[in-house]
Amino acid sequence: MNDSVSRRSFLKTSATTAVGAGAALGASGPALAAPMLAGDMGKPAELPKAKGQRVIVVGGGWSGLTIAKYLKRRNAALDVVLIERKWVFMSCPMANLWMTGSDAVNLEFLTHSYLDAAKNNDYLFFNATVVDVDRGKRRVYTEQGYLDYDFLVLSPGIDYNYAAIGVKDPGDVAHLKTYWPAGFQPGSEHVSLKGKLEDFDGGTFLLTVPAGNYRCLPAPYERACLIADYFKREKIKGKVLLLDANPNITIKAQGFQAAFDELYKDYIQRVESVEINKVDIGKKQVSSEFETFDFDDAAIYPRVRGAKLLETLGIVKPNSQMEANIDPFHYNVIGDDRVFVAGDSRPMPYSKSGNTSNSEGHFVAKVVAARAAGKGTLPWESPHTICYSAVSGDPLEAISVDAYYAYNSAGKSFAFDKVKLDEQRDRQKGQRDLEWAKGLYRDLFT
Amino acid sequence: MKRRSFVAVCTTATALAAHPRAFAAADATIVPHERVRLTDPQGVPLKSAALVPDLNYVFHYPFKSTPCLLLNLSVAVEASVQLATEKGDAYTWPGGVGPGRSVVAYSAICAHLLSHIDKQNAFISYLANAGDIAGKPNMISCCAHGAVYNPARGAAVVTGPPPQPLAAIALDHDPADDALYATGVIGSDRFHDFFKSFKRELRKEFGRTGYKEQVRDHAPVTPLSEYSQEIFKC
Repeated sequence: MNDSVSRRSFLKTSATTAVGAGAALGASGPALAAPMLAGDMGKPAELPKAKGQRVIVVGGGWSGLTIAKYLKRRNAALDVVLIERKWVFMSCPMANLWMTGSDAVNLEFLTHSYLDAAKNNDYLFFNATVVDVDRGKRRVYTEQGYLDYDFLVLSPGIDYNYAAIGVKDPGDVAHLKTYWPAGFQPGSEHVSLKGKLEDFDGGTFLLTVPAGNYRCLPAPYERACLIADYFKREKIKGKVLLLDANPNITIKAQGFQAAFDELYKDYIQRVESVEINKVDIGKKQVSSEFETFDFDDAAIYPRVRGAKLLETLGIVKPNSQMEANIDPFHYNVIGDDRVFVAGDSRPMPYSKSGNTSNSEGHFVAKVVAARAAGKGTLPWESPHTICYSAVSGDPLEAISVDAYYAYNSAGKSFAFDKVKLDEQRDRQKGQRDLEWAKGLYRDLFT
Repeated sequence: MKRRSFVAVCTTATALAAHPRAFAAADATIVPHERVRLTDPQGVPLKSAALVPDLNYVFHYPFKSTPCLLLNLSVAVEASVQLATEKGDAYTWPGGVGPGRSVVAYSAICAHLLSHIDKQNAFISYLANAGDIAGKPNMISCCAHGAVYNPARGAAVVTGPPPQPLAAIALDHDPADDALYATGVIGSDRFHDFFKSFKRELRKEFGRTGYKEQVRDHAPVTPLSEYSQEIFKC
């Protein structure tokens, strides 16, 4: 008992010292209570012994899959373990086309095997849920036991923040998640949304665009276009009510507005600057301070936050969207050169999108491999955001953006750089959208 | 002289005559493959004079399923370029061939995520005009993720995500009959990943084992406009 008490306070002290007094990071020891540690979680997970320096990657999304693969490519001697709680990968990008009935995208297009990724790239896939990390012991706890790491990369993605739209009661949150899923965490949400659209009898289908740096800036607008296109094609007397917390369309505004005006005038109603603060489940209404809106069915996208795991670990950055407290150029947790965070859990204002995470992952793999080899820090490399948005499902037509990021040392901020917008929708961009996705799936799984 | 050693001497002499570059440079960055004569689609030997400047031509080399771009550039081509692979290995691209040293060839498999040329789609190709993503003329662009390569400089990466240039195809020109030969690969290629990623599609098009076989003797060259149904411009 004395040992664990002194260890915990040692860890707390060292964490505080590293970041200075007043930084509310919390202890870096495990939050797990003693009884939990006495059971399965307190035993080593039944996995092969590490054959070299072990790098654990938590999260099998676009970031984690990229990092696991390229760590091995950089240094085959690293023992890489990818921990992911889902048992199959389903792509969020391109899912809007699938759920609105496009011939171009089916479930096989979207669904990929973690086993293939691991087999093709010589790392271990561990299908488990990370419940805690003891950064002092360098130990990751899962429900199936613990693993020790030399280096740890956390790419746990986002969680939804329903409280930010006034939905706090757990029963209400469960109702929204089940009946009106946001559709930005792939899997059941997307399958449900496809079913909803197939069964839709007409009326108002509500979509929301959150405030803040939400996952995939263009996706709600793409979804609005494709649902409207689906209503048109299927002659459904439906309307998409797009309640946007933002005053302006957040990305590719011209291209989306042109589609709204020229293709979907009677099908999409976008209302700007609507900050939802209440959802009336019984009446099927959402409200802001000023207005109330009725809907028949919905995909309610609340705000996003960094994954809850970051909070458990006490590595949340103050004044962020509960994202990770990391060095913005080198990705390590402040005060810990063994633990890194990448992907949508990052606090930097990059677009939270698949291509961004994939290109960032190439760099983070380089950074971690260098650290593992005892080499120093590397000069920062900007992620690459290239993104196609389908504005019409049949014929498949898209618009695109291609951008990097630059750091302004005077303003201490990041901004878009080298932006190339191509907002003229056309069929070739629709085909390029498909190849964009296929190339990325190749990078993650082959 | 015993017959066996006589034959060995003759073979070596012929080999040296046929691979003058390999002998002269002893260049480890050119990986020799089969020496293959470029022909038209009917098998008639191609003359470099027949190559329309700045037009995209496709042939397959060094394997039956690995597509390549053949270009007769209208812009000045650098004589020799120092480049580096993703791993950091230096290599030298030896420039163009032909009377104007303007004929170049590259693997048409993007060095980023393997978008390439097949019968349905040409995601990567050369544009004489300034395209949207290149922003300048005479570049090879890949319309999947925005890669831009300079064919006058060994397909060095100009902008975009590729970690290394396109693999170049080593060419020989015989001024006696204006013939063109493909002889090897320069730089780092993506053939291994290409075969892995596209095994199902390549087998369908080129045969269950054929897709991985070396091209021998001759390689037909087709204008890209006649090869791919959809040529992407970006």
